[in-house]
Amino acid sequence: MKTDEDRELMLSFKQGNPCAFDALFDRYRDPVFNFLCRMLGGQTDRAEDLLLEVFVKLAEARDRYEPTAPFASWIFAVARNHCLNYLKSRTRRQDLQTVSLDAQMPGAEATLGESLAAPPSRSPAQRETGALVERAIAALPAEYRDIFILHAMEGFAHEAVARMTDQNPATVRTRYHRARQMLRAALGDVLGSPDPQPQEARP
Amino acid sequence: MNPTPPCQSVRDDLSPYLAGDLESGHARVIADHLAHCAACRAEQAALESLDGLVTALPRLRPSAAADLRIREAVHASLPRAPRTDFGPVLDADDLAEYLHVDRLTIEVCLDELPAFEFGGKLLFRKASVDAWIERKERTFAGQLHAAIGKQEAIETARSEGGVTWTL
Repeated sequence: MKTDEDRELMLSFKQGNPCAFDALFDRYRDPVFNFLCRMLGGQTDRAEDLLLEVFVKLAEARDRYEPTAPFASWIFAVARNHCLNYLKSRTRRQDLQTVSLDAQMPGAEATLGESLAAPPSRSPAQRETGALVERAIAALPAEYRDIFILHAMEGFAHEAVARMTDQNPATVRTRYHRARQMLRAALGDVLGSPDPQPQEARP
Repeated sequence: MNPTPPCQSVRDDLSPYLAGDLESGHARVIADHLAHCAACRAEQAALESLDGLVTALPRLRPSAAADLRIREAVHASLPRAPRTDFGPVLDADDLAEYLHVDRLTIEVCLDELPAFEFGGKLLFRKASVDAWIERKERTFAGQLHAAIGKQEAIETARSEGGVTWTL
């Protein structure tokens, strides 16, 4: 069982075994990096910096690690908190009127198309669609974006996401569906003809 | 047939419906509506195609440089386990580590240590160093306990933050 192996590795790392860290890093480097990149709207350089900070934090906190919760929940909770703090501090630095996390991320637009959706194996049309989807995900409010990425892209069950984000599973579920609807609305043209009924026409 | 709900309320529930998150009665109402409403079926298809597009997004990897940087940063932060794997011949750095002193101490105390020179390098036979240690071994009496007894000496030392040794 993967979770048990994670726990063994983390306990071994806690005792100072550097190989155990390498094994954990091999397992979680890409999932955490994908999460960070998408949370940051494709700023891969920044995501690499945060990835370093997350794993250094893990190393610093290893003495306090208790194998009560699955390791994955722990590392993603650290990554998410770190990322939200970074987004908040960036919003503050930019001295924006709003302190909400869903503020537009300047710089993200420029790199999104190229860095996230551009493996050469894809056709230009696929790449263009991919870039639109990435942009729509990046534009989700942060409290929907984290849940959507963790569930739809990193494959965690709602219950696991609830543990990672310290929310109850019902909230996580509701937010996930809301995020999907927001994406559908944002990608109207890409996904086929948009809603023929104007939303305002509801009784 | 049940009165079919308005399209908008069906669409609001399409995502949980597709994920199997609706209770069965509610899900049946949605299914009935979908069976008769091409526009809402198109919405269902749009959501499914959204899932497909999201799944098809490329997986990303950090650069090799970042990978290395992170491993090195973490390894450097780990306490180094004391070495125990010394071979029969030590160089000055090995000896410093073996004796838990810095290299400068070794250099300053070279006149005491059993060493030999080879290939322009000062080397130390571990067995000779061990024998040298054996010759140096003795007991160290703190200047306090003779007069006041060990227990009191310990307490005094504790309150003063350590024992001053006269070597």
